[in-house]
Amino acid sequence: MSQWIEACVTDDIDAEDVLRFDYGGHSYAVYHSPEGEFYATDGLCTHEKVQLADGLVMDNIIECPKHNGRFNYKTGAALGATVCVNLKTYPVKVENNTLYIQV
Amino acid sequence: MTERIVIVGAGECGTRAAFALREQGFSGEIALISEEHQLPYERPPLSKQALLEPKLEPYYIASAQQFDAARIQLHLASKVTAIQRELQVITLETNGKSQALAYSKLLLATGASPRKLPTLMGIDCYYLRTFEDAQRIRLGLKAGKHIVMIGGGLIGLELAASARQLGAAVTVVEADSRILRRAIPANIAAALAKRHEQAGVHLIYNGTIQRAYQDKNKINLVVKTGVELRADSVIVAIGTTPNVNLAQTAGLAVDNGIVVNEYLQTADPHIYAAGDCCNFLHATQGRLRLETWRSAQQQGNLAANNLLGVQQPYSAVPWFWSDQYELGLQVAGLTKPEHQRVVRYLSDNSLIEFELDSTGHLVMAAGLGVATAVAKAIRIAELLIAKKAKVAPQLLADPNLNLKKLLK
Ligand SMILES: Cc1cc2nc3c(=O)[nH]c(=O)nc-3n(C[C@H](O)[C@H](O)[C@H](O)COP(=O)(O)OP(=O)(O)OC[C@H]3O[C@@H](n4cnc5c(N)ncnc54)[C@H](O)[C@@H]3O)c2cc1C
Ligand code: FES
Repeated sequence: MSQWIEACVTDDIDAEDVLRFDYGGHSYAVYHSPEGEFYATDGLCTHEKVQLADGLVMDNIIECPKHNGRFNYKTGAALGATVCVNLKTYPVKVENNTLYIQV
Repeated sequence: MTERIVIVGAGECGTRAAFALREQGFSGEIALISEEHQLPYERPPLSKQALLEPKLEPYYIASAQQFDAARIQLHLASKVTAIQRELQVITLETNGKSQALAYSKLLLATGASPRKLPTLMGIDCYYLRTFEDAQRIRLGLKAGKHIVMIGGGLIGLELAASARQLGAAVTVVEADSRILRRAIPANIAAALAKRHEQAGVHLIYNGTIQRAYQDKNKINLVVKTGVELRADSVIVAIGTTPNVNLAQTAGLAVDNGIVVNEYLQTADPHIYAAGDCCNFLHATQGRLRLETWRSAQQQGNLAANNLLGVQQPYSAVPWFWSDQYELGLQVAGLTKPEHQRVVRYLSDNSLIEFELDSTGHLVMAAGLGVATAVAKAIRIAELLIAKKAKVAPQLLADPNLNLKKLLK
């Protein structure tokens, strides 16, 4: 059953950056796009189990900190070579400066 | 005649090149030739995480179905023994049978082999390059055994960390007065050495091996420092030599690697070389032979493009990583003794060491931290290096300054 979970306050994530969020033994990554929108994906790379939140966000892209596999964090699409399995994405909503993700 | 591109060596580089050719729309034949018996696999795990798992398994680069789907003819257990350049034909030996294969273009991605230590000629010792090497080494890594690593380079130190984690006693014998002089600057090296000592690794510096002899199941090593070591296994990791025989016999220029230009092309316009085996002209750094996973991949991609007529030079900032214990090391750029150094201290075990050239341009950044903690900073530094950015040392030293600000 899906539920909305409080992930962080929106100020916790700089624009064009990412933050790790753990819940129920699972890691998520929450993103603040350069346009000021928020997104969420699985926290671990689909190549090896590496925390994506240690990676660099550029525009719509999160780059894995280990082998630079790239994903579009808005759609979860894997963008080639090292990563070929897409990332799972999750719905998010902002209420009173708090970011919730639906897991 | 249909076009056929032949790739010799199915390591990281050759395999990537084969797939990249298809990704770029090449529709002719692709023959990828490997003298190894298994499907192409990743080498980096062999000194680290793969050794710690209950059963050592290869991390395959691609599955048999993926090779089929990309119509890559993979010849396993097949060694290329000759190139006849005037005919554009190679000789291939599989299970004692010889076969000729014509090529329109040829890519040499033959990799490198561990450098042998002459003092240990005739002594049972291990070298690590292949999955089979790792299997043999793995058997000796257990509690109650004393492993002596000769060479405090990246592979030696990764193996030392893995061996400690498996409970073996470990001595590392390094010929230099510090570890990793060519790869990382002094402060990072010192932090890493400290972590090894905390883990109980015995590090011996200035330690060339003078003599070795075997008795019963032990190997005795006499070190220049006067110490005598008694080991259950000796692993030698003192660097590599590029696999150049094939190219050399075919009359191609060889000088610490198969000599290629900035497009990874040899003097024979039909033949390219890439990855660990090549000595290439870097767009900004001069002649280099890199031995890193990322450059092997990038050069595989680039060689594929250039084989198809693109003519792109290799200009990427050199980059590598290493994992030892819980620590991750990442390095962008090349360390040189003449550079100015700036250290950013992040926490106990975590720091970044930057290097600037004489005109104040950032040229190297090396970071050490738990897992991928320093990855973002090193990636940003890499982009700054590529942009030839000048950065004030005090900004680099300030742990509260987000490096991303400097990129804008
Ligand atoms: C144990 C280990 C750990 C590593 N860890 C890291 C790391 O943490 N980070 C990092 O950046 N890099 C690491 N590396 C380096 C990285 O793996 C190499 O840079 C990379 O594998 C080079 O790829 P390559 O394809 O050029 O060569 P290779 O992977 O060596 O592949 C060359 C292949 O060609 C075959 N071949 C050669 N001659 C012939 C012939 N005549 N006919 C048929 N086949 C032939 C060889 O058998 C081999 O299979 C590590 C390497 C090792 C060995
Ligand atoms: S772990 Fe993410 S690309 Fe390899």
